[in-house]
Amino acid sequence: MRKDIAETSGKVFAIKTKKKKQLGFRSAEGYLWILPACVMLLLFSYIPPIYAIIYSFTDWGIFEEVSFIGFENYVTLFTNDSAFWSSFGNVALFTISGLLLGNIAAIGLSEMLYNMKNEKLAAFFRYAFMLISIVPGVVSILVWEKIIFLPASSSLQGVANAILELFGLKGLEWYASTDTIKLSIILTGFPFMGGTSFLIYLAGLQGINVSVVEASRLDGLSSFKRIIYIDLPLMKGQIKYFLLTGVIGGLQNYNMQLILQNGNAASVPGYYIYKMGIEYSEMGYACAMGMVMFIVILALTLVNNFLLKNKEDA
Amino acid sequence: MKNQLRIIVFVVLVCMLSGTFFACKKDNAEIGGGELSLDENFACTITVDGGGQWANFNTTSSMEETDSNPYPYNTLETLAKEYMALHKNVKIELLTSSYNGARDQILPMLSTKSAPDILFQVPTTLAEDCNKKYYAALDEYLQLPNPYSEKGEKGSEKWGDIYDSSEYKPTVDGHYYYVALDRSALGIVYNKTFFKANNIEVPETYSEFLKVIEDVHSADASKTPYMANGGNMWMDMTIESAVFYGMKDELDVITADGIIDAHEIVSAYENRKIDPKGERYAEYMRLIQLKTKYSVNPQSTVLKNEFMLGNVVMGEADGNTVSYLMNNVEDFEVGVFPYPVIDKDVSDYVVEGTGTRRGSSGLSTAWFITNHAFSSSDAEENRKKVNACADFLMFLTAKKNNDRMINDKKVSVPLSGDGYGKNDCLKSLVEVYREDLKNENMYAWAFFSPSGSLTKAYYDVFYIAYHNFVYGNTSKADKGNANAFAQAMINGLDQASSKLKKLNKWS
Repeated sequence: MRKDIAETSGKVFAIKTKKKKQLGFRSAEGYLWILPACVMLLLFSYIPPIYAIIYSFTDWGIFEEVSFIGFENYVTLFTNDSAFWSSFGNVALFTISGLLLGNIAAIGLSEMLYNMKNEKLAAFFRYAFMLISIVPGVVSILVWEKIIFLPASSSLQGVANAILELFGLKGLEWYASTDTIKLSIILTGFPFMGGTSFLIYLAGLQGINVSVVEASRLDGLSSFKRIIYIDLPLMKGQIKYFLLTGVIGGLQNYNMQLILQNGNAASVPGYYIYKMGIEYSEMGYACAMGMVMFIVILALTLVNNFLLKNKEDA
Repeated sequence: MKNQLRIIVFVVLVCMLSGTFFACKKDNAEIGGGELSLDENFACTITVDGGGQWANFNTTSSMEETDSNPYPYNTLETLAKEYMALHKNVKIELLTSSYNGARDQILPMLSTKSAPDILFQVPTTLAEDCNKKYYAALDEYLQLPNPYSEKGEKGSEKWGDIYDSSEYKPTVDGHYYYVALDRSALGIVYNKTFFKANNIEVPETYSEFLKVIEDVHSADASKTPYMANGGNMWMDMTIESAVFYGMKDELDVITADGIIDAHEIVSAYENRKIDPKGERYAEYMRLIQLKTKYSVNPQSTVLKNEFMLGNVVMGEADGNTVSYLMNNVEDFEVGVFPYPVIDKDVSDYVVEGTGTRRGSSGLSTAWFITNHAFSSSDAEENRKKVNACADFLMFLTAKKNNDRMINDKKVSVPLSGDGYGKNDCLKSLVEVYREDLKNENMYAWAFFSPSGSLTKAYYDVFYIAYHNFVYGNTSKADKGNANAFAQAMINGLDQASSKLKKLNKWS
């Protein structure tokens, strides 16, 4: 009996040791295989921001000598650079309007598709609105600049001005004028329904218990009230996601300013940082601005998260 | 075996990744010494940006003249073919569209030696670029005879002779880095019919000009007497020069050449001779506001449009705008006159009997030979390539070729001065400039222009502050706010001075 136990224990021990050795080898092998991805993550995602922090304390000008200057960049930024801070006003305007218009349109579209009786038609519209997302953003902006919002002073008539003139109104300069460029940027993308955001809202609606919806109908709740009191509260997760990502993305975005010819007239922090680093070769200063942006966005995200979490808990 | 194969693949992957990140940076050789003429045995391709200050010289999509294609053009391409027929070893590749001197596109290319070999750029940023080995110095080439100039022509003995010495200056480090291909034409277009109907005479001085503005307003308050052209500040540069000309002996001290260059501006600023909050700049701000009393914001609407509709009576115009308006307006007669001289009657700071040269701001369309032309590790090859580029530039600046290249575009004036735009619309401007060039009392248009000489960053800061001060462009609160304008200039000058001193090692 003891001999059997000893033999069995020995075999088990031997099997365990063999397995341990196999597992150990496989763990090492696994780490080796993910090492290239880790290296790339380190090189492209972690090291650049670390370098940016370091360079923000220097007067680095890309291909010039680098000297450590302490907090000089930050002092200049906070005391002597009104252009950076005034660009925050623009980005706040664009972010808030983008969040409102984009989310209202996406929720509206998802409600329409959710309540569409003809399923085939609903599927068709789902694809049709989603297809818009395959158009590159640059192309879309150029279409708006060169075709839709063509200025009144152009030799050709733009779509927007043609519509205005149908109503007896005077055509505008749109992007070409400092008076109307901000309005033009806000309106770019109208009716704000394309892309994939409405699909996420639609998934949210489809996740609502059917019995809740049926109960609201039986209680005689109007569609509008049902959306406000039932659908929106039950889609909090999706709304929270879009608010968070919308704020982060909106504050960083400067596509329009980069592509439009008159982009400087509606400058945002991201564009200003780009100009400072690339056009003026003031990379050290641009890094300092980037750090400030990072802190601002982080703070807003944390506040956003906190407020939304509190509301959820409540 | 499988495990060994996996390890080998993994090691190869890591090596490939490492190779891309730690690729050796070639230290390219300089331009070698030796012959400066074109080597007919050296085959090379020269890429040419084709840009121009008033219009680009790239071939248009069509040679048919239409509203959307008012200036069909292919002369540069034709000249390139003629050059290639002369020199079979050289291939000229003209870009389909120019980078238009866009700094954010050009700077990364120059930093990585990937710009076109011959590049158009406005040379206002030379003070910050000259030490970065972006461009080939052309000093020696300018001393050579231009083989494409005919005997007796300017340039036939020395290439640099095609330029008047008062117009063409080396940059702050003493070198020449570009050649100019044309001259600008600048003036004020005006509604001749309106002037005649209201007995208004063409002004010659700034005092007269301001009176004309009032006369136009009195005659018809619904019309805008005067409007600037987009964001341009040309007339204001002449005002700035006029206000500071009286300090010439104090400012033009490092290279006394009739222009206050970047080094002199920085030095004067550091020594408190230039003070944006001082009296001279206060006078400058007063003078620039006088002409915009009834103006609309030129960035809210477009001069060409408003002038054609008859809503604007006088407008600041370059050759392109002059040419367009004088050849397309049908409802009334259009004329052009040069910028008025800033006279003593309007400002005590003006030196009596002096003024900026009228009709033109001088040389324009600067083409550079970039570091892409000398990016090889072989110094001798670099020399030959730069020689080829310089030779092509000599070809383009020889009178018969330059006249064709510029006159066919019709918006500026060739280097010889033998060309007056479409239907001679620029003739009066060219002639007055020719006269002023001979007059010692008339100085360079940008005699004193910090925004045009320091850094791109300073230009942008000044541009925004200026438009806010005059029009309240992006900040209504800053309209007429001299202190805000001055403070913006101070902030910009501090930054520009610090940067230029570091880059150029000025004490």
